[in-house]
Amino acid sequence: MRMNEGRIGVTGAAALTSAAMITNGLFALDPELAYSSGNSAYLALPLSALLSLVVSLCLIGSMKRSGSRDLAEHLQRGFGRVGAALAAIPFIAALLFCALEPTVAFLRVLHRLVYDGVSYTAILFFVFPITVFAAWRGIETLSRTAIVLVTLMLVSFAAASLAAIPDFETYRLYPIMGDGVKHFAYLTLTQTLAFLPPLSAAAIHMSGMNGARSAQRTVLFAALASALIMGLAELSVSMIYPYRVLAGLLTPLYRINFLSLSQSYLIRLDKLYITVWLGVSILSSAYMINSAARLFARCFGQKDVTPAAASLSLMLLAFELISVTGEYGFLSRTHRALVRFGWLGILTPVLAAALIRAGRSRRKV
Amino acid sequence: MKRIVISLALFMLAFVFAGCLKPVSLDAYGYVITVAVDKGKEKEYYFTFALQRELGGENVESEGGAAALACEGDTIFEAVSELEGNVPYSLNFSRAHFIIMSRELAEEGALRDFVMTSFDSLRIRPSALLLISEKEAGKFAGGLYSNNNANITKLQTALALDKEKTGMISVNSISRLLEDCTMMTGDFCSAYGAYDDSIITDAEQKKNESEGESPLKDAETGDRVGGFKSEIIGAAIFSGWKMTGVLTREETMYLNMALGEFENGNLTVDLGGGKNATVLLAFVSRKVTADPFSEGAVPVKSRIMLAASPHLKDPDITDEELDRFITNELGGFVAERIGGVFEKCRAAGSDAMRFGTHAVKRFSTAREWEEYGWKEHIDRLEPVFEVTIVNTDKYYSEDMQ
Repeated sequence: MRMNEGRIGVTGAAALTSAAMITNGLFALDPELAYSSGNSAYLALPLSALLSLVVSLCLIGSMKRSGSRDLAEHLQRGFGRVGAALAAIPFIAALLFCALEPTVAFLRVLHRLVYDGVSYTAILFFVFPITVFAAWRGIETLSRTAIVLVTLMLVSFAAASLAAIPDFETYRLYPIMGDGVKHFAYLTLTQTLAFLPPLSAAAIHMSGMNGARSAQRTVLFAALASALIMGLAELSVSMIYPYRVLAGLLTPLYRINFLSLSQSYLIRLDKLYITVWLGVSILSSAYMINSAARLFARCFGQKDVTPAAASLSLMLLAFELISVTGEYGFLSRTHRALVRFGWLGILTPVLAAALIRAGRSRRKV
Repeated sequence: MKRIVISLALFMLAFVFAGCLKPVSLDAYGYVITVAVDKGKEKEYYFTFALQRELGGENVESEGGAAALACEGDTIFEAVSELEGNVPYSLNFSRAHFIIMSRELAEEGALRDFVMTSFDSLRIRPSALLLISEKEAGKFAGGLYSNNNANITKLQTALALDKEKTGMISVNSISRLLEDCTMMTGDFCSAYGAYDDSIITDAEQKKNESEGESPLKDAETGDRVGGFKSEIIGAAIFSGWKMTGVLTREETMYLNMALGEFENGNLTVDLGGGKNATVLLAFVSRKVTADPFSEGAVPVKSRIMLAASPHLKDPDITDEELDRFITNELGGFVAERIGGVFEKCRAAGSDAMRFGTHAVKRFSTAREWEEYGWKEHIDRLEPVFEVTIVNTDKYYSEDMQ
C-alpha cells in the first residue's frame, strides 16, 4: 500500500491548511463578485472562514463520535461503499477547484504584469512540475515546506501593508456594507467554497494528523489565523483602492504598494512578494491534489495514491490550460455556477453523512 | 537502477526549476521615464517618450539627462510599435514617472482613452504623476530634462518634496484620477506647468564658460537663471475626465489646505498701514462633515487648524500686534481665500476639494451612493470654512520664560 501519508503535527497541519485557505481567499477571489457593487470583502472573507470552521468542526466532531479514522471511512459508514464513492465526487471536484483557482489567478498576474512577452504555457510548465512533485511527496513534505513558506508569506504581507500605510484612506472603505446585507450574506456563503475544501482536507488526512483531536485543533488554528490575516490584508487593500477600481484589478494585493511616490526599496519588492505567494499557491495546489487523490483512493478501494494523484494532476493541467488560453463558453458558465453554488455541492454530503451517523447512533442508544 | 533513474529525473527537473523565463539583458530595454501626449497632425496624438540615459559627463554641450523619441499614432501602442522598429531596444514603461498631456487634449477629455486603455498593458505604475502642460507637452517634458541631472528618476520625489515644503503644488497620480472618475467622490486636480525658453540652464552656463564668456551672458534682469526650463505654475482642475480650469500657485496652496494635503508653506500678509509680515504655516488638523440628505442646500463644514510662526516682519510691528493678527484675523483671511478657491472650482463644475469623500460616509450601500449622484449636487453645496491659527512662537517664548 502506497498512500504516502506520513504523520504531521498540529503546527505543520495548521500552516498547510491556512496556506490553502489564504491563497484561495485572497488570490482566487472573483473581483467582479466581490467588489463590483461595493466592498465588504474585508468582513465577508473572515466571516466566511469562521462559518466554514463551524461546519468543519461539526464534521470532525461527528467523525470523532462515529470513530471514523478519516473522511472516506466516515462517508462509507454514512452512505455505504457506493454512496461514499458518489458523495466523494463533489469533494474531489471542490478540492480540484481550490487547486485550480489560485494557480490560474497567478498565471494571469505573472503573464500580464511580471513576465514580458512570455506565454501562459511557458509559465505553467515552470509551475506545474513542482506542484505535481510536491503533491506526490505527501503531507509530511508539504507541511514542513508550509511552515517555511507561510512564515515568509506573513512577513511579506506585513512588509507590504506597513509600506502602504502612508497611502491608506479610510473613506475608501465606505459604504461599509458594500451592496447591502443581502449581497454581503451571499458573498459570505459563496466564499465558503474557498474554505470548506482546505478545512475538509484535514478530515481527509485525519489519521495522518494523529486523530480527531489534533484535526480539530488544526482547523481551529488555521481558520482563526486565516480569518485574521485575510481580514487585515483585505482591509489594507480596501484602504488603498476603492471598490470600483478593485473590481477591475487582478490580485489587488500585488499592487498594494503601487501608489507610493517615495523611492524606497521597500515599496519595490512586489516581484519578490509574488514569488513567495506563488510558492505558497503551488504548495496549496499540491495539498489539494494530494487530498483529492487520497480521498479518491480510499473511497474507490485503491491501495496506491500515485495513479489518482497523477491523473488528477493531468486533469488540473488541462483545466489550467483551458482556463488561461481557451475561450470555452461552457467552462466560464460552469465556473460561474461553481463559484455561486459549489458550496452547496460539498456541504450537502457532509451534513447528510453527519445526520445519518447521528441518527444511527441514536437508534443504537 | 531505480536510484539512477530518479537521480537523472531530478537532475533534468532542476533545469526546469532554476530556469529564467525569456531572459532579457538590461541594455536591451529603453526605460521610458516620461510620456508626453500632444495633438497629432496626421494622426490623433503625437507621443514623446523621454528615455533614461547614462551621461558621459564630459560633453558640456549635451542638453539633458534623457533621450527623446517621438512619433504620431492613433494610440500609444501604434506609436510604440513604430518606434520599436527603429531603435535597437524595446521600450519598457515600468519606470515611467510622469504622464504629461497638453491642456488642449486635457480639455477635450482625452485622458479617459489614454488611461483606460494603456496602463496594465504597458506596465505603467498607477503612481505615475499626471501633469498638464499649458502648451506642447513634448516641449514641457524636454524642459524637465534640460539640466544634465545626474539622477533624473528623482524628479517625481523632488515634486513631492516641493509640495511638502511650499504647499503650492498639486502632486497627484493617475490612480487618484481613476478613483475620482470612477467613484465620483471628488474631482481630480494635477500640477499645471509651462515651458519657458528664456531660462538659462546649468548646462548652458557651462557651455558659455567653456567658450570663455560669462556664464550668464544672455540673462536679462528679472530672468530666472538655473534649474529646469519647465516650471509648475499652478494646478489644473478637472470635472470628471475633462480639465475645466486652472488655479494659481497660491490658490493651489489654499486648495491643499482644504484637502488636508498641505504640510508647510509661507504666507505674506498685509497688516494694514503698509506693514507686511511673512509667516510659516504648518498643518495641524482638519475635520470635515457633510450632510448630503439635508433638504435644500447641502451643508459642508470644514474646520482646519494651522500653526503659524512669524518668519519676517517689518521692524515697526510689535510681537503683540503680530500675535493679535495671527490669532484673531489670519484665520478669517485664510478661510475667505479657501472659500474663493471653492467658488472658482464650483464654477468649473469641479469638486476639487473632494467633499464627496466625506459625504460617502453617510451612505449605507454603494447602490444608494451611486444613485444619489454626488456630482449633480455640487451646486447645492453650502460650505463653511473655519480656520484656526495658533501662533506657535508665542507658546514657545512663554515656555522659555
